[in-house]
Parts: sequence; structure tokens; C-alpha cells
Amino acid sequence: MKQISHRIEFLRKKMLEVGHKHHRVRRPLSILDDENRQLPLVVRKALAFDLILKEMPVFIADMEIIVGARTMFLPREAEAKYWDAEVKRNLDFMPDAETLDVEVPGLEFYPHYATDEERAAAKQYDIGEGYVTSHCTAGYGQVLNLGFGGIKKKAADKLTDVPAGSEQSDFLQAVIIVMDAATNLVKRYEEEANRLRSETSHANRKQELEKIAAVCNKIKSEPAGSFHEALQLLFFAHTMILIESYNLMALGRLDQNLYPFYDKDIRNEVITPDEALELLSCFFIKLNDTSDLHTDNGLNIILSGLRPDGTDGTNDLTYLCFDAYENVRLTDPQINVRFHGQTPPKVIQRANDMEKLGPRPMLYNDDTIIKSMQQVGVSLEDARNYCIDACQDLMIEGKSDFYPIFAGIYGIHLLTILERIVDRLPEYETFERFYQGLKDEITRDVALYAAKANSADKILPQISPTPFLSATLDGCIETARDKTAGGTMYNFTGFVGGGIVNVANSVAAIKKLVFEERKVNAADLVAALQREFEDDEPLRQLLKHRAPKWGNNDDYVDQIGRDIADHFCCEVLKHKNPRGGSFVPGFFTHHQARLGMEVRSTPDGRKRGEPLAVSLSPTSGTDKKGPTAAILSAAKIDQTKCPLGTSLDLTFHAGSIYDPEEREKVMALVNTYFEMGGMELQTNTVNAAMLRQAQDQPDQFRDLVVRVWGFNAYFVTLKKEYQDELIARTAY
Amino acid sequence: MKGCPLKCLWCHNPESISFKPEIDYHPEFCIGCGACVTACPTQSHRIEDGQKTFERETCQLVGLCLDRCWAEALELKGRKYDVAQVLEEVLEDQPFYQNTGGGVTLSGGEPLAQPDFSLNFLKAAKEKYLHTVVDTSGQVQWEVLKSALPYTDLFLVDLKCFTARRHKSLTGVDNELIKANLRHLLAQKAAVWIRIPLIAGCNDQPEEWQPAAEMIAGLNPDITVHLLPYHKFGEDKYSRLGKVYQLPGAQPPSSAHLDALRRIFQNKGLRVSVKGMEKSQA
Repeated sequence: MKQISHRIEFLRKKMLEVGHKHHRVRRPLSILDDENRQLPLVVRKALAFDLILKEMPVFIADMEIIVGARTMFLPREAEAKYWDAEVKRNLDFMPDAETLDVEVPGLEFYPHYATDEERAAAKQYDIGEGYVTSHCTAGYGQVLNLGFGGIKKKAADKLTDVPAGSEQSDFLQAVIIVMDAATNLVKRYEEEANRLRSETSHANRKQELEKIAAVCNKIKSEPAGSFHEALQLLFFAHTMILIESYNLMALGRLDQNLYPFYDKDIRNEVITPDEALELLSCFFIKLNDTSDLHTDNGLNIILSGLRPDGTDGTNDLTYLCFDAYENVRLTDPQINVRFHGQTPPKVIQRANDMEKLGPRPMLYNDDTIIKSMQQVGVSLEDARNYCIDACQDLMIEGKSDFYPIFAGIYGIHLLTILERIVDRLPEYETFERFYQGLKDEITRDVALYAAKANSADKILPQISPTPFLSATLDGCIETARDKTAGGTMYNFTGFVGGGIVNVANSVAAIKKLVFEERKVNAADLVAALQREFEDDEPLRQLLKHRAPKWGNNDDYVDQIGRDIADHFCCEVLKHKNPRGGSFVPGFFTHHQARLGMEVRSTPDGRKRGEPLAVSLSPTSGTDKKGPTAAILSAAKIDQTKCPLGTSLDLTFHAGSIYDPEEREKVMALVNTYFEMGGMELQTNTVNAAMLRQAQDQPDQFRDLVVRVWGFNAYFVTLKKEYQDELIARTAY
Repeated sequence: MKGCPLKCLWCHNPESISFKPEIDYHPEFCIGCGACVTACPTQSHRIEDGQKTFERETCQLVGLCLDRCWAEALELKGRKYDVAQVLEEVLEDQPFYQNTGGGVTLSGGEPLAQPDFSLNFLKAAKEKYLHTVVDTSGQVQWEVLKSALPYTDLFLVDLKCFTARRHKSLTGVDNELIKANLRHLLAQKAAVWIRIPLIAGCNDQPEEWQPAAEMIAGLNPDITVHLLPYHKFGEDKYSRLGKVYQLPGAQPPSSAHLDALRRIFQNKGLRVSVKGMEKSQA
């Protein structure tokens, strides 16, 4: 086990304690004036981006080697409305500023750039100024290989090819503006490094600052050459991506993108593996600079997996990433690992070893995922280059956009539909009619949502294009179109079928108890649900315990789940979006505690306030036959029809996982699930007693990290209901 | 499987001792709906002053309450199954066995106390190429063990202590039959793990295990001995079954003492594994 360097320990500790909050400022910003309101909107958005990069304070903190961070934010009230209440608490570190009058959601983090008319036109679709779909992994490879200057040149060259004054020319001009802005920010950092260098008397630090300045000088326009330059350029690009798209922007296949730079440096003896590890660890620590702002940052990296040519992509940097994670052990970045038939055993072992320090990585099955991508028209080579976005949704790195959360669709959709149909339960004479009614309603609802999403989709490029992100994606500069206008290669709209497990359980309960055994009267059931089981505990227990539940390998309910999932997928896949792509289904249920409060009591015996089942996992406490049965149930869904992704979460007691023999068994569970067509599997190894202890003594457990559903979080910062839920979730 | 010829004082599966069905009552799940009171023909369920009580003395295991308790506060321990039913359930997990080399373990209670079922089940399991393990107290007729031999890949044999008198006071039977069966099994070159539950002050005296180590080493020095320090997870079950736990406050031996016991076996050249110790390593 490598000695963790003093620098890394210092930087890590500082990040945990206070981070760089004191460098942040709040200011209301606007670029709109009488002159430039005539400019095309995309150009104004680019100018707003430029403004932030000009105005935001730059800093290089003590002992930092990789530098940069987002430091400019809008006034507190504006932001607090948009995100969790946690943000309010965390933003206490920021200095006060005057309030900004905010009506429209989406303005909260971006300077004012749109006219009243433009905002009004977008408002009817619930889209505001600065609105972003996030959830898109940028083309970091492009940035590393071309540099900001190279991308600018690409846009400038294309500009000569398009009609003047066209939308295409507007977009390209915006790209040029944002790339210049990027170059200027890096220059500011170079200047800051030089300034600090002249002020410090420490010889070592002087040298380091000189190096930092040199790196900034190189990468402000040029592509990266060395590993250090690659890391720094990647970090600047990432910071700028966040400035434009705020949050939930993942980092993709880090080991694949950075490897050529690492390999070259090692072979030329420019750097040793230990030095590279320290640099990478610095990079990892920096990724946490704004992690305190949200419970979920979505800073996912995904390691290993097949290359586009079909060979295994594992390289030395893959293992270095595990090493860096073990050194750093903060919530971000989150490690995810791709699995395929030839995954090296050492990768599996390193993935397993991670649990000694915190959450296990999420595991992805190349086989099923690649197949599912191909089914929606992605080429085999591109499909092999899949990565994930900020949660667990799948996409193709650097050339796709999936819009997984858009136009109001959010994680409870199937349950909303179910509630509507269940309220009409007494009208249905037979189960078949009820079930068909449900499926018809799903069909109708999917079509309605697709239409709604498409309307919003069309307006989005007119109110909030993202030129910086688009410039990095394959296809956008080539077609001179922003990604919101369908400029990149694969332009999908994700549609999450949230709540599928609760729906399957509810339908099974209705089938058995209302129609088959006639133990429950339809009208009585509806009344009980409408009063949230207030006076109906025996009925609720009957629904809970005397109807089959998902996760027990019981075909009675599993076939219902499979059939509804299939129907949903088929319906979703029928619809196209205005960006030249189709709608793509996936099955995730997140925010299970909060949504559990919002969703009415359900016929599976769940009372309002109880959490929903997470994605394809059984509802807490209803799986009676262990993890093998939970896996068997989940595997019955045909996941090649879900290119957006699915996930299964299993929780194990920590005690069983430290034993190497036991760990092999867990891997066997994973392999079996993947062999049977599973897509994504998350195993947690928290010990319930430890979590309870952490609840009682949060101070002693400040760096206890758990994986909630697609993100890591410090357990002690979670709301109590999430803490309780994580504790209650089935532990084997 | 339900039913055991032994009645170990520390048993953490008391529901597996009697050969008859029993009702397990979870008061924490009871919602006070009174359905059991109405259903019971012998008035064994009562709700008085808002308190639910269950009178086992009058219970004749009619079982109507079990169907009516939707909150699952009443659970029947002990159901009849035939070989085909159990095999079907076991085979559900076959995809996993293929990846782990796993299979099925018969335990209880004493699985070989129902030889008709057990032997037929083991044969049927073998026809499906399942790996089979039998977890036995050893307190069965040799003929039964012998019949199980061709269909059993591994025997887990418990040894509670060495001296007959202490054995009788702790379990209700002496251990001559158990020791004889162990000798037979090892003479037949069966694969055996010897498992020794250890409760402080009951069966953890070194003088119990010195002769045991000698005996085992004499029969087959390649055996692995598994020491199983006591745990408390079974204690709650007693009151739920209307029983009284005979060893309140029972503890596992200290780690120093466990180490000393471990060395007794190791000094005889035997391999020893101590369960529960390595698992708590962080």
C-alpha cells in the first residue's frame, strides 16, 4: 500500500473541513443592454459565459498543483428555490449580496441574457433562462486533443462555409466567444500563478507555481502534451462545463481519455508512476470543490470496459484511478466499473477492495448495454464507447445527448398513471379489463409526454443553447448546430419509467385480492387509498402480506412487472424527437424517500410517507428469499430494450464482505445477474449498526460515505429520512 | 428441518427442536385487529385492556388464526413438504450454483431424523448434479448415515464436548453414538468438517478438547475443525415460542481463551478455523 503523500493528506483534510467556500462570491450579473439585445440569443449566452469567466475570482490555494474552481454564484435566494433545502444551509458560507428578483426557474446560476419576450415564449413550457438538461458527458477527448484554440479554429474554419447571418453562423460565433473566454480564464490563472510565485519565499513552492504557470501557458490554447497538462486542461474544461450546465455533468471514460498522455510521459521518463498518482489524486480532490453545494453532484467516472475495436480497454491508468480513489476517499469522483467477459481479474479485485473504504462501485454490464444501444441505432463501435451521465443513465461519450430528466418527467411516472386508473377500479368488471385499461393509459400518457417534451425540446435552443458543451461534442461544429438543436451524433430523449416495482406489486395485489380471491372490495380499496389507509390497518396488512411481491422470484408478480416494463419500453421507443432521435426508456426510481412522501398510498400496502422501491430493487422488507431471488426477479425484465439504463441495488452487511470467500460469492452474484441480462448492479456493504452509530455521533463519522442510489454522499449530511431508509433497506 | 434428538441449552434455533408444528408469535407486528380472537375456537387468543395475549396451554394448533393474521404476527413453524416441492425451490437458484460451486445443505434440527425424506431428497438432488451437504448432530443410527454417504458431498458434524457426562447435562443425551458415527464416517473417508460451538463456562474447558483433539487427529489429521463462538441472535426466539431460555447472559469465550483452544487442535496438527473472528477484521 503506497504511502499517501503529505500534500494529498493536507489537501484532502482541507477539502473535508472547509473546502474553498471562502473564495466564492455572489453577484447578480447581466449582459443585456440596449446594444447587444439585438444579437442572436446564442451569442448573448456565450457573452454571459464570457462575463462569468472574466468576473469570477481566481485562486490558487496552498499546496495545490491542479488549480481552478467555480467561484461565482448568484444571490442566495435565487439558488435556494431551485435545489434542495440542504443548499440553503451550505450556502451559509457565502457572503451576502443584494437579492435578485427572480420569477422564472433556471436563471438561478447564470447571468441574465434573455429578453422579456424570449423568456415569456419559453415560460409556457416551464423553461427559463439558463435552463440546462445537464446529464451529458462532454467530449473531453476533443478538448484534450485539440485544446480550446483548436476547437475555436475548427469553428472559425466552418464559419467560412456557412451563410453569413444564419443560425449556423450565430452558433459558430458563440463557440468562438466561449473558447476565447476559456483561453482567457486559463491566462488569468497563469497570471495568478506568476503573481504568487513572485510573492512566496519558499523555494519549493516557487518551483511548483512556476510549473503551474507553464502548464497554464501551454494549455490556454494548445492541446495537452504531458499528463500534468492533460489533467489540468481536463479540469479547466470540466469547471467550464459546470459553469455552463451547473451540475450533474459526469467525466466519462477517464482512464481511456487520459491514457495516451500518461503512457507517453512514463515511457519518456518525464514522470514516475508515483508522481502521476499524486497528480491524479490532486485532480480527484479538486473535483470536490463544489461538492458541498448539492447532495448529488454526479461526478461519475467509468473505468475499464471494451474499446470501440472490441478489445479490453483496461490500462495502467485504470489501476491508478483506483489508487487515487483510495488515497483521496471523498464523495467525488464516483467510481463506476464496466464489466465484460474478459475483464481482468485484477480489475474485479480492485473494484471489490474499494468497499473497505466506502461505497462499492456501480457495475455495468457491457454485453447487455451495448446490445441495447445498438437497438436504437447506435453503431457497434460507438456503443462500445458508452459511459454514464451523472446518475446511472447511459450515454455515448462525447457524441450524444440523452435528456433523461426533461419537461417534468421525474421518477414517479408509472405510479401517477396507476393512481389514475386505480381510482376507477370499481368500473372494471374483470382483471383483464383493468390491466388493459392500465396499459392503454400508459400508451396514452407516453404519447402525451412525448408531445409535451417535444414542444419544450423545440423551444430550448431558442432560450438556452449550450455552446461550450456543444463545441466539445462530435457533430456540433461539423453541422454548425448546438446540441439543443440536434447537432451531435445521437440525440435521444430519455424517458424514465419510475416506480415500476411498486406498480407491479400493486397490480399483483389487485389481481389476487380484488379479482381472484375477492377478499377486498374495489370501492373499499379506493376509499382506503384516498384516505391514506388512515383507518384501514388490517386491509393494509392484507395487501402487504397476502399478495406476491417483486424480488422473491415469484412469477405471479414478476411476469406482471416484465409485461408492464415491456409495454412501456415499446411505447416509448415509438416516439421521435425534433432533434433527429428517438425516445429511449429506462427504469430508475430515485429520491425514493422524498417521492415516497409525494406519492399517494399504493395498493401494494405502502402508506404515503414510506419510501418507494429503488429502481428494480424490491421494496424494503418485502424480499424474503435473499439476494438471489431479488436478482432473478430483476433479470426477467428484458433490459436490451432499456438503452437509458436500469439499476438493481442490493445491500449486504459489512461483516460478510471483508471475508475474501464471501466477496467471491458477491462477485458470483454479479456475474450471474449480468449473464442473465442485467444492466447495472450496485451493492452496498454498510452495516446497520455502524449507520445508527453515525446517526448518533455524526461528528465521528464525518467521512462515512454511502451510495444512496446513483451517487455517493456523506451519510451524516443526508436527511434523517434517507438515513433511516438506508438503514432499513434489506441487509443480507 | 424440524425436530432434533438433542436439546442443547444454547440452541439458537429452538423452533427446530420439537418435531411438531409450533406457533411463533411476534408481538411487535401485532396491530390489535382482533381477527385471531374471533377465529380461535379454543379462545387461546385474547385482547384484554388493549393487550394482546396468546395462551399456549389451551392452544391445540387448529391454525385458523394463522390465516387471519394479515400482519404476520403469527407464524407457523413447521410445514409439510415433499421432495419435489423442496427440490423445485432449490433449483430456482441453479444459475448461481453454476458460478459459485454452491448447492444445497440439509440442516435443522436433525435432518437425518426424517430419513425417508432426507435420503430421497439427497438422491433426487444428485440426479440434478447438485452439490450436497448434510449438517448433522451425529445422533442418528449409523445405517442412516451410511445410506446418505453416496449422495452427500460433505458432512458437517457437530461436537458439543468430549466427556459423556457433561454432554448429557448440556444436550440431554450422551455422545457415545456421536463419537462412534464420527469414527465410522472418517474410516469411510467421507469429507467431514467438525464444528464446535463454544459457550463460555459451558463447554469451553480445555480438558474437554484435549482428548477430542487427540481422537480427531488419530482418525484423520487432515480434518478442519471449525470453532464457532457463541452469538446472541437466537435468544429472542424463545419468548416468541413460549419457551424460557436456559442460558441468559451466555457469552462466547474471550479471544485469549479461543486462541488457547485453537492451539490445542493445532498442536495435534489439525487445521482450525475460528468463525466470526476474521469477519470482524476491518
